[in-house]
Amino acid sequence: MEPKNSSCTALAKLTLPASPAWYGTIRNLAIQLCRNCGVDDRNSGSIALALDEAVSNIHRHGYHGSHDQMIDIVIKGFKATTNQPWKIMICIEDRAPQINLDQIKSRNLDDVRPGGLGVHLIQSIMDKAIWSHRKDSGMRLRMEKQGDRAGHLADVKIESELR
Amino acid sequence: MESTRLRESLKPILDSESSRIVVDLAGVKYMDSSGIATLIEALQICNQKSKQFVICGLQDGVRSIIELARLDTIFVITKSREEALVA
Repeated sequence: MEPKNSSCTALAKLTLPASPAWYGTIRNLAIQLCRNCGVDDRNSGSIALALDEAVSNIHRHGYHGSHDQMIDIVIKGFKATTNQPWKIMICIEDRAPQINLDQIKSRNLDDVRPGGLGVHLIQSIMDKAIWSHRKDSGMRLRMEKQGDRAGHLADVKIESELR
Repeated sequence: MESTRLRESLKPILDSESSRIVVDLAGVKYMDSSGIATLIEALQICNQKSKQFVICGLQDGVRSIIELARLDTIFVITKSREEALVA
C-alpha cells in the first residue's frame, strides 16, 4: 500500500531479460533509487539483494535458465516525511508457467543446506513479499520495505498470502 | 567470481589432503544466495571429511548477507587469513 499523503519520489519501470547479464544493472539501479529516496546503504544493499534473488529465481526456476525471457520490474520509492518513514515498493512480473503458490517456501533455518536460500533472504529482508498469479499467465511478486523497522532483518516472516 | 567458478576452484582443494580449508573473501564485495550455497556445500564436504572450513576477510555487505541467512553461527569466521590459519 502506498504511503498516505505522500507522493512518489522515484518511479522506475523496466522490461528486461531475466538473465544474469542484467543482474548488475538491475541491482545498481535499485541501490541508486533507494539511496536517492534516503534509504541507508545497508538497507539499499539488502533491498537490491532481495530484487536480485527474485529475478534469479525467475531465471532459474520460471524460465529454466533461458536468457531471453522478459520480466517487468516496477520500483517505487517514497522519501521519508515528517509523518512517515521512507518506503520502497517493488513489483516483478514474469511470463513463466504459473506454479502452485504452496511451492514457494523458505527453508527451515535449522536445515543447513544449499537450496531455498533465495526465498528465505527475500522474506528476511522485506517487510512484505507476496507471490500471486497474474490474470492470464505468469507470476507476480510484490515486495515492500519501509524504514521504521530497524533491527528486524533477522526475523523470518511468512506472509499468509503466500499459502 | 561466479558461484560455478568458485565451486570449480574449490573442488581440487576439497579433494586434497589439507586438513584446513581457508576461503579468503576480502576481495568479494557482493554475494548472492548461489554464492552462499557454494560455501555451504564446501562446509558440508569438509565436515564429511573431518576437515576444518574457515572463511575470513568478510566485507560488510557479505557479512550482512551471511547474517541474514543465519549462517554466521555455522561457519567459522575470522577477520584475517592469519587468524584463520590458527583458528
